[in-house]
Parts: sequence; C-alpha cells; structure tokens
Amino acid sequence: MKITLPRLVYASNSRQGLGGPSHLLSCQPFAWLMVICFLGAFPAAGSELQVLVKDQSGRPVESAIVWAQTGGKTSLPPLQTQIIQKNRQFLPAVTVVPVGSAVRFPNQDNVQHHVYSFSFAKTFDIPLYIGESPQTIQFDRPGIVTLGCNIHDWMAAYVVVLDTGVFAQTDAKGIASLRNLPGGPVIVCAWYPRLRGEPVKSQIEPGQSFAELTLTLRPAFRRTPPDDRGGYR
Amino acid sequence: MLLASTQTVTFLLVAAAERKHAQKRIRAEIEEATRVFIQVVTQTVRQLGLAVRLLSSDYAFASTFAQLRNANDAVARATLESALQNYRGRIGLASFIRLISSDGRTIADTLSAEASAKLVVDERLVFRAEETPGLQATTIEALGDTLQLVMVYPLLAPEPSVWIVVGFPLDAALAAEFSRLSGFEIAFVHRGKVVVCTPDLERAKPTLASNSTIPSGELQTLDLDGRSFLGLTVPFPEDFDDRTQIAMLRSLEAEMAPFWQLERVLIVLNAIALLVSGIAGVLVARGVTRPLIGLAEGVGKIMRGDYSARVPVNSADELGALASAFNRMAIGLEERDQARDLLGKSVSPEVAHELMTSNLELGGEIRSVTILFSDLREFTTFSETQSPHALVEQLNAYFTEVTGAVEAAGGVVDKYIGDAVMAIFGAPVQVADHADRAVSAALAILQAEENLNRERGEQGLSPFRTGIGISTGAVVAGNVGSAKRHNYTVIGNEVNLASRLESLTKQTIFRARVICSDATRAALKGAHALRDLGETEIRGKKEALRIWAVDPPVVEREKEIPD
Repeated sequence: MKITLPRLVYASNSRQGLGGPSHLLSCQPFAWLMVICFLGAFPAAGSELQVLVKDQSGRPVESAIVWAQTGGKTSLPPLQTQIIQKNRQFLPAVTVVPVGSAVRFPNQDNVQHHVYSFSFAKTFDIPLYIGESPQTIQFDRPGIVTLGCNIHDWMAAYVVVLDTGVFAQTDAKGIASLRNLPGGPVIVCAWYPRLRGEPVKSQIEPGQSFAELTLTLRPAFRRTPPDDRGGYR
Repeated sequence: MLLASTQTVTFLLVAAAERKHAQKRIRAEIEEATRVFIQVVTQTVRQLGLAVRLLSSDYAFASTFAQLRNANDAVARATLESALQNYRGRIGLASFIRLISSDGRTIADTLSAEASAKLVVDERLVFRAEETPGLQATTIEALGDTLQLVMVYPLLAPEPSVWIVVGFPLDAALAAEFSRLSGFEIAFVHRGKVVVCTPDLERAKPTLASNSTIPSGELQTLDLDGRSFLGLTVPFPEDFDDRTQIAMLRSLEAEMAPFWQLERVLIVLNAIALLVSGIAGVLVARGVTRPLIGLAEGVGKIMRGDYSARVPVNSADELGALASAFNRMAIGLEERDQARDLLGKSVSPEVAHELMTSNLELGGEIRSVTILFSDLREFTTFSETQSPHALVEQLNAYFTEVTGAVEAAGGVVDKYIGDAVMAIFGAPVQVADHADRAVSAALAILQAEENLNRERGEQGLSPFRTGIGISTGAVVAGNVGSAKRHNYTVIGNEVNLASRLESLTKQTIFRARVICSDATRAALKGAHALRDLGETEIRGKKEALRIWAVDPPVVEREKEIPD
C-alpha cells in the first residue's frame, strides 16, 4: 500500500538565506512535495505523541524536525529528488529524505557552483558545473547533511536523512504530532538548522502522549553575498 | 624678611606648579603611549584576523579537516596538527593555532600537549563569537610567562562546525619593543597578577600586582622595590578582555630629574639673591645712618652753642643735601653770633637785645624817656696836645668809665659824638624811674671821672672835666636810618634840650656840673639834692625854662669848675 509522505521544502528564494531572521523557518513559505509510498508495509497499531520543541530560553521553535527512532523498522523506501541552485541559493533549504534516497543538484544559475558536504553522514563534492547535475548523490546513512558551495560562502542547505517514517514538523506553537509510533520505549529526536551540536534525543515510555524537547540554538548570523553591500567596500 | 618670604612663596608656587605640570605631562604621555600601544596591537590583531578569516572559509582547509576528522586515527590527528602548523607558518603572526568544537573541546593544536592543557579556551568564547556579526571573539589568557591574545573564528563549511583559535603573544619581547619606543616601563597585568613586564619591573611584580587593583585612570606613585615610579594603569579595550590592564610606568627619579635640577638652581639663585640683598641692605643702612649720626652730633654742638660744627658732605643725594643745608645753617648761625658780638660792642646790650629780638623794621614809637648828654670840657685843646693814638686810648678809657656808669644805672649809651656821650633812660627797656636813673648815672659819671682823674694825676696827665645835661620828655624811639643801615635811637626836642643843658654847665654863674630840666625834676620819684637855678633862656626855645643843678656830694662843691 502506498502512503503520501510529506517532503519538507524550505523555500529559500530570497537572498537572506540562512542569514535571515532568527526564526528562519517560521517566516519561510514551504511546500509539501507529494511522494508515493506504501502505507501497508507498517503496522497501524501505533499511538500518537505530541512533542513540544522549545529553545534554551523557553520559546517554542517552529519548523523543527521531530522524528522517532525505530531502528530502521519503519524506514520509508528511498526516493529520488533534487535540490536546485537558483539565484545563488539552494532550493529548498531543508529537505527530508528517507535513507538511501538519491538527490540531484541541477544548477539553474549562469555561474558554476561547487556543491559540497563535509558532514559525517555524507561527505561529497561536485566540482564546478552548470546546468544538469553531473552526479546523483545517494544519502545512504541517516543524519544531518549540511550542504555548501565552495564558490559562494553564503549558500547553505540541509538534507535530513531519516531511517524512520515517524517524523513531523513543529507548528507555530512548537508542537509536532508523531503518529504510528511503535509499541515499547522509543527515542524521539529533534533538529533545527541553528541547533548547536547533534540532534537532541529523549526516551518516550509506552503510553506517553506528550514530550518536551529543548534545543540549544546558536544565534542566527547574516551571511550575505558581497554584492549585496553595494560592490566595493 | 619680606624679600625672603616673597622668594619662598614664589619658590613654593613654582615648585607646586612644576610638579603639577610634570604629573600632567606624564599622564598625557602615558595616555598617548597607551593609545598607541592599543592601536598597534589592534592593527596587528586585525591583520592576523584577516589572515584567519581567509582560512575560516577556506575550502581546502575544510576539506582536509573533514577528511582527517572522518578518518579519526593517530595519523590523521598528526596530519591535522601538521596542517595547522603549516597554516601558522602561512599566517606568520600567530603564536599557535587550535581547532576546537563548539563546546570548547580541543580537536587539534599546534601547542605542545602540556601547553595546550594549560591554555584553556572555553566555550563561552565561542558563544561570544556566535553573538557577533563577524563570528569572531577575542580574549586574553595567561600561558606561562606570557599573555596570549586569543581570537576565535569559525571554520565555515558552510556552517560553523568547528572553531579556529589563534593566539598572538603579548610577551616580554613585545613589552621590551614597546618600552623602547615609548620610553616607559611596561607591565601586563592579568587577573591581578603581573604576567609580563620589562626587566626593570621584574623584582617589583608583587607590589605592582597589588597596586593594579587601584582603579585605573589615576596617576599613581608606586614605590617598587625601593624605587619610585609614576604610572598609570589602563585597561585593554573591553572587546579584547576586561580582566587585563597595561601598566605604563616611568622612574620618578628619571622623570623628575629636570624638575629637581630646576629646583636646585632656584634654591641657589634664591640664596644668592638673599645674600646680595642682605649685604646691600646693610650698606644702604650704613650709608644712611652714618651721615645721620654725624648730623645728630653737629646738631648737638649747635645746641651747646658751638657754631663751628660742620658735617662732611659725601653724597649728592638727599642726605648730602641735608648735610650741606646743615653746614649753611651752621655758617649762618656763626655769622649771626659774630654779628651779635659786634653789635654788643657797638651798641649797649639792651639795644642789641632789643634789635635781635624785635623785628628789624624802620619806624618808631613815642616814649617818655630821660636823655643824658655828657661832654668833656676843653677837649679841643686837649686833643691838640695828644698823639692820635694816645688821644683814642685816653678817650676810650674815659668812655669806658662813662658807659659803665650809664649801664650800671640802667641806661643805654645811644652814641658817642666826638668827646660827647648820649645816653637814654627808659628806652628801649621801659622803666618808670628813668629820671632818677639818669640823675644817679650823672653823679656816678662824676664819681668815676674823679677816680679816673686821680689815676691820670698820678700819670702826670691833665684831668678830665665833664659837663652833663639831663632832660625828660616824650621822644620818638625806634630804628632810624636806611633799610640797609639803621640805628636804634631817640629823636625829639628833649635830645636837643639835654645837649643845651649840658652847654649851660659851661656858664660859671650856675656853678653846676650837672643841669637838668624842670620836667626831669618833676619826673623824679626819689629824693635828690637839686639846686634851683631859676629860669633861663635856652637857644631854640621861645620861653625861658626853669632849670636845676644836680650837685655832687659836698666835698666836691668847693671846687670850681673852670671856664
């Protein structure tokens, strides 16, 4: 059976990019990408868990990614998608994919890009190219992959590689609803682009319907293209 | 004393002003030097920061780092540290480069393991960096006997995954170099301890550290190891580190040397000025007192009547003028004294006194006086038989007797006219019994003449025979003559009458040596033996006058007066 999985896209069509306001995601429009999956592959007996994500000062964090570790048992089938480079920005800024997914990086700008990642989950680079992506990158290990461009320091994007189908995104109140949790204790994780360090984890006991996670966020910093300042400086 | 106190006050004022000025100047110099030092350090740090910022976004470095980190074995770590050393070599200014994680854990370091463990860079520096737009922060940490200006920059890939820590040494070499440029002793005080200082301050570290707790910005005099320093503690800029200060000091002895030299010169100059003014004062005082003492002595002599006193005139100033004025005064007094002597010899003492004391003005007053006129009989014959010298000598002897008799009776001799004497009674000194006095004087003259004739008889000389006329009445008495030369005398009919009456004594019918007028007889207050001679014609008078003879004692009566 196929299910519809939301694929989070954080549109970054402006030059503000990740150097924008601290609540970057809350003010960014995002779209749902429809992905065809088979729901019938998973037991439907799970309960629902409400997770509140706050930052270190107690403010709710919107658009954080929350997921439950299921030891690969609920992993979704890999998919193929793309992260484009347009106006010297990655689009979307955040992409959630099942482990094993293949991602292409088409360059729609009229300058070359050099996409790279030094993240432990996936280290790669696609040296200077323009137009269609010369390589398709397969994300075969779960984790957070931070993308950059060697040519443009300010370009940044994230690929959240999950080996679980139980995940959600927090709303404006910082609350995400996880459905179809497996029985037994489960580890719930949360991540947000400005998170300092590794994703925050918390163990959930069976029958627990609410959990709270605190993310230690670092301040947002503005990284703007040099020509945004009006040329020579 | 006034000069001394003025000089002392001036000296103290100058000294205070000089001290204040010196302090102000040192303070300004220190502030300037500190500003320059911080500027230099800031520039250096900025230069270093630019180099590190290139490394911060360097793809090759990030790539190398990622590969070695992912490998995570001993060779990879060694290679990473080697790579950091390589970058340190490229940058040149850095004392060390370290990679730390966001939580401050050291990943790789060019410092030795021991040094690396001592120099702790905690995550708060990273937090501070994250708060800044440039993702950069600076602090100062002690490392052994140096201070390290520690800067942190992110390694961007493109997110700040790890952080690059770079050190710039604030060490003895830097202090020495800047000390050489600024002329100040320099110490870096970190967390209340002197970590770095120039050699001169080495032994004074503890004192300096304890003094660094004094609020900075105040110019302090520090006694360090027996030496005085003047200095200021200035904090590093806060965005570097707020626990570190720069102490800039200068040896007070060296700094104040020019002032103290000036002070010595001032003391010597003041002493000389005092000495010179003292000597000058003594000389001036002596120059004043000596002539004054001489003048005082001179005045004393004058007071005692010694008009020959003179004082020396040694100068042309006021004292000299005073001395010559005194001398002129003494000369004047002496001349006047001589004049009075002469006057006394030529006029009677009473007249002389009247002349001296009254205003020497021409004019007169009407006085009631008695005039006595005496004349020598047969004088013409007598004078022809004598030599002029003998004549004057004998006349003088005669006049001396007559004058003595007149003055003894209280009269004054008005003048000598040839062999005649005119005397006045009742002027210039007013007396009530002038007639009595004149009569007594006449008798005394006769007595004196008798005595004189006795002597002359012994010498074989012919005797003098005197006739005397006395008249009494109102006359004009006063100074008569010209403005330059005048006499005190009396003018009036009574003068002529006395002379006429004297002439009557030549007439043998009267047998009288002394004849007085009826007015004289009327004016007599005492009892006198007068012989009435009746009325007689007097030349120059319209009416006959009654006249009287004043006879001497009986013995003399028998003698006839010749002629």
